[in-house]
Amino acid sequence: MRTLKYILISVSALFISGCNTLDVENIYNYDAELVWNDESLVNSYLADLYYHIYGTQSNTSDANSEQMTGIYWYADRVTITNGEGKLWDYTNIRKINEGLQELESSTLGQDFKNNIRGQLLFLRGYLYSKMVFRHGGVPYITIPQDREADDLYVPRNSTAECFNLIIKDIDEAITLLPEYIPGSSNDFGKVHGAYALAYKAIVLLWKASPIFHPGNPYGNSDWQAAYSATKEAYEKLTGYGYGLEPEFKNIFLNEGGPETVFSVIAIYPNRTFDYLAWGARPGSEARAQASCGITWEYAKAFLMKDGKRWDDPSSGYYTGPDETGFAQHFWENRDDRFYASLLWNGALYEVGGKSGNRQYTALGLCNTLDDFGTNPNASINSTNLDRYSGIFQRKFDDLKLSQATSLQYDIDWILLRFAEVILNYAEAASETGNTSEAIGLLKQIRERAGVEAGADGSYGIGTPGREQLRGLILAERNIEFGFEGKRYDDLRRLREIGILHNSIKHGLEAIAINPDGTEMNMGEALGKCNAEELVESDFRYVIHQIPFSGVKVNEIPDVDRYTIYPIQQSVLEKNHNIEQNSNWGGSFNPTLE
Amino acid sequence: MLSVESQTVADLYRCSFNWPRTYPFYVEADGTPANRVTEYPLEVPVGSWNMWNVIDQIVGDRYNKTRDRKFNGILTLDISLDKLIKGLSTKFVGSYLATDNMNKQYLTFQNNYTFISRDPSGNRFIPAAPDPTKMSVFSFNNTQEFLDYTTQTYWENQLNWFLNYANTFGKHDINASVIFEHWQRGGEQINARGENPITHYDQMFVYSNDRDYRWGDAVERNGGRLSWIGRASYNYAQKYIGEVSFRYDGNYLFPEDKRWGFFPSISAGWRISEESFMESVDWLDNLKVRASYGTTGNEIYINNARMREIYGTIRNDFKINEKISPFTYLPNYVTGESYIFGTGKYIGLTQGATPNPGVTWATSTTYNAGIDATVLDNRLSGSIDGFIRVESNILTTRIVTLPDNYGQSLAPENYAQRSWRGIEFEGMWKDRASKDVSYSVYGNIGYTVDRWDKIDQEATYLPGGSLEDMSLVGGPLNVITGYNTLGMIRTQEQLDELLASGVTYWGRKPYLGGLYFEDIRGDGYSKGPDGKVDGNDIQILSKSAYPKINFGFGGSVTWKNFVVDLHFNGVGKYDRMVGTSGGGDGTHSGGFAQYGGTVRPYFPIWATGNSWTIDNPNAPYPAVVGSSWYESGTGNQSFWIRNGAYVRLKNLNVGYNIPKAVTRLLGLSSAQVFFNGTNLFVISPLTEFHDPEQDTYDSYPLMRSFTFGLDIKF
Repeated sequence: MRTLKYILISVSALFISGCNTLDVENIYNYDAELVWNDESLVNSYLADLYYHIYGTQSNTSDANSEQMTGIYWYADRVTITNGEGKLWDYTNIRKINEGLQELESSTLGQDFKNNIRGQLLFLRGYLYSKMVFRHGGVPYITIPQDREADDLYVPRNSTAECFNLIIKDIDEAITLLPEYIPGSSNDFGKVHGAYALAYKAIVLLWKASPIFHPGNPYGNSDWQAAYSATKEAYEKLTGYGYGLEPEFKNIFLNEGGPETVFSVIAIYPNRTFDYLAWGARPGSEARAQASCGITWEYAKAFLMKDGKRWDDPSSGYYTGPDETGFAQHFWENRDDRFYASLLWNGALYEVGGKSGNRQYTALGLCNTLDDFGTNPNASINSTNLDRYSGIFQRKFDDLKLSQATSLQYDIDWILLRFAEVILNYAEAASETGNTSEAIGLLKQIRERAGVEAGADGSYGIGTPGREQLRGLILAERNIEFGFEGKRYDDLRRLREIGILHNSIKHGLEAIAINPDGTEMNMGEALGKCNAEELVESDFRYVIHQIPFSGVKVNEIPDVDRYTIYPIQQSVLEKNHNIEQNSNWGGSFNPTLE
Repeated sequence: MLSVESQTVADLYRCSFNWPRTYPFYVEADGTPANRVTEYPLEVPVGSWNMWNVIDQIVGDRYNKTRDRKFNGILTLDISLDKLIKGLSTKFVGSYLATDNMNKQYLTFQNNYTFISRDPSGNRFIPAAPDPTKMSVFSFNNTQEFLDYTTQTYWENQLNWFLNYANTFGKHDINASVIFEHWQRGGEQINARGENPITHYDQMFVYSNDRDYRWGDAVERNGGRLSWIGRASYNYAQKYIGEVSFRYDGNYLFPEDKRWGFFPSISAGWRISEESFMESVDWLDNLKVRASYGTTGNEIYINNARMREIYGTIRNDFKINEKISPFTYLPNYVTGESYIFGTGKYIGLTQGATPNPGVTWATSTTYNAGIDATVLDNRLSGSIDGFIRVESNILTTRIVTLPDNYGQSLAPENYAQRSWRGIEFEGMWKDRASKDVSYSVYGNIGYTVDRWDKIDQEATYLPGGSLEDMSLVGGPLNVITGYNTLGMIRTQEQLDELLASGVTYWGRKPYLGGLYFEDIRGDGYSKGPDGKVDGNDIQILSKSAYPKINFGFGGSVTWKNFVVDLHFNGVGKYDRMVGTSGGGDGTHSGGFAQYGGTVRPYFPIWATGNSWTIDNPNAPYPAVVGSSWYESGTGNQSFWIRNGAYVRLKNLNVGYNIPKAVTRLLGLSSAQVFFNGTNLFVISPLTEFHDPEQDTYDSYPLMRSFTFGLDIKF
């Protein structure tokens, strides 16, 4: 019987201990009730949103333009099914809308709530603008939809409605956000009034641009609004102290400098951008073969020192129309942007503390990760013929970093800099007949780029007509914002993507030569290259079409279709009220006409 | 992230297998190639990115090691309660399981010398003296050299209380138990890391104590389960056997009202050979029929990531038997992505997965029936079994076609169902052929098929949809998807015909020596060819991506002092997509990439002379073009599907028992000399590429082993 008693006691003890076995403490996540009543947690919520909206940046996005190697526009690159060109980011829209809703009932202080609301509204306008720039009008949803109570089968708002709502969101944000946030602030990296103003100007520039007015590209009345907004942005930002960085090569290196309107911050070890290691540099100085081959076409696009194109006979540096002839000295007498953006064979490249180091791309003479060409005397084959061009990217490079430390790259990525504020203003001024205002702005850009003012003080601009000036501004944007991911959007916005149709690309092979022009013995040349003794002019240059195999010609068969992208098939399937764009066989007019 | 951790012996094998043979791994100070480890490792100048040195990877000053420990204390208390009721007893079992684990990673970068040709105008493969100013550092893709410790200390305890009753009344056997089970777990995982060392040493004190380079993290876990189990069995004269049982399980993963699940089981057997009417059948030694029905509760979660990826490729990506995270039934916020403002890093915070207040048990139900028989004086024995297993209410991602503008995915719910059907035979013949020779032969074979009974799919996969032929329902979990290769373009006439038709393959025109594919759909997966083969033309190439038949057979012969044992095994009804682990197009492992450009295709298959050329138009493999395209043999496509069936001599053992007369002299009780060989030969269509049990073309091969031995007993 005593045993029985013990058993009963143990068994009951077991049951009692078992009672709360299934009720374990939630040690895995945050309590939803607390988040919106705690400033730190709300700021964390915003941090995650910023990451998803701005976090990932790349210097290879210009592969879709003439700037970089690779034939991006193979036939049928954009289809209704695939993801190319599509942006339908309602996940982040929902997060923003949930934040705005939760904020309403939050017990936090009004100033704090206003600031957060301002950030969320701007981010919403920003995200919708990105979608509208690609597809035309989209469903402009401003609440976190409830699966049961709300009608989820929302049709698209018209493009005009979307623009109005985007401007409304940004306008309200401007009233709630601080006027501007300088690079020294602890809040630097958050959206602020000056950025919002400058971005609003961009939205209105898109609204006026040919993309949404194919029938009346430059005579439509939206240009006036674009002009006022770009002018206001320019004037207010100048008042806040924004301006051009004195030297072009320092724009990115001077993080948080006067030219930075908005940037994504990286600080090693907490945040790095590994694209330097994985693509920007020549392979021998990084972790991988470069994914940023720069085309000969882009090297030619840079201005001569007097602001003229290389093939403009009126240039003081004109050496004749022969392209191959120009290739033998293309690095001479260019503007600052050329030197700050490109890295070519034989160029001085003092990377990772290697003083006097020169970068070579000549086959047989340089590291096999950098070579380009077909010189039979090298007795090896380049593995880079479909990838490289003999010219690399120098812009953004942080020369302090060696090959071994290249993954530590942490230069902030500037999303909007003052030069763009200026050029947006110049473009809108030009299209509204304010030509001299526009030329004055363009001169600022050229002056900073080290272009000579010239006898007429016009920095090579001369006295262009309206259409000529339009071309000059577009060309200026191309060289000013190289590899900053803006070129293809510029072409799309202006309905100029047709220039890429049937376009091909070229690279530049370097072959070492003796002073008399004969080819240098490989062994001798290798010795000299290893000693960094050969300079650019010790080579002759051969222009090759690239890539050597595969698709070699860009195809943009239909300007309409590649200017405004279709809605993806899967989106249409899930919401029968969404109409396809009319340029893609649907019934929705994505333009403003 | 590629770290030392992901580098295994298999990687060493894969890399050295594919490595060019024309460059040395090490050289002497003057550049002479060395066949030993020297101070001068070379970076081999081939490949798509900065190459490491394969040998230094293994022998270099770096490591990754793990120490696992397990302690399991069990205390059992058996108490007979015969005094109270005859046959009654009770038992307590308490067990405490402590598992700890320490992983230490010590990473130093590789410093390799860049390969320089001694004579670039002549034989470029002869290395020049290594130049210390031309170095390449391989960082294993880390920003810093580091020392890293991760330790886990986990515990589980389980307490079981049994109340058992067993008694026999004449020919009636009765057995019954009630069991209460209590399980809890807890523990921590702690990680510490130091970076930026001042010298190379695998102790923390050489690592920078700047807080930017010291890093720590910790995660805890908890959990608990409770169960009631009941069991009762009855047996009449070893003739009729029956059992009923149940489990009533509670689990902390589920919300309060969904915590408990009831899972009953029943089984019965009948030994016909024991019946009196069978007594006259004297060739029959034993005959038993049996049947059972059983259920259990499982915490199964299948993460259904079936999706349409960009560029239109479709991939089935089911993560089977994922763990259910605790508290998925509550709305919550979890750690998101962090972001920098000013100079400070802010922790990110975001909504957790959409909560599912109904998350609960999945049920696994098995129906089984079988016959066991032994006949002819116990010489022939065998059994046959059939089963159906159904796993229902599996927690799985929902695919409901909600508009994207809803902006949120739905919570997984308990609704999916999979089932397995199978049949198994087993037989053995044992006999003595003469006084000196005895032998036995045996064989077994099993056939199993699995299928989806219920799973959400997007509308296009439903009947009438443009992808209905790729529907999962009714088919197995594992299928091979890809493109149907129609053949290789071997002649100019063939090429001209295709060029005239205007067909393109992923935007490229067909070319001589390239593969060409079936065009079944147009953009948006619309049915019917459109003259463009691309992601829209994906199809299921085989539903036998897993062997449906498994078999084994063998035998044994003893003649005087000699013993020979043989065992064969194999599989059937199995399709394999041959391919590589170090390549492919990133999403598939099928086919063979051709990277390495024009210098040297990475995989040796391209250098075997079996590729199409003008002079060898009937070659088995496509032309070497130095680009990784479907047309050149990369990616999942029917061209690389082979029958994966094989039969293998898994084991052969030959032994000789040394005669007693000898062993006695040596003072041994017995002694045997033997030879044992494993994986001696295999017959399979796959041997064109590799062993049929080898994972991929470049993965670590199956080893063949030979053992000679002497087995002595004192």
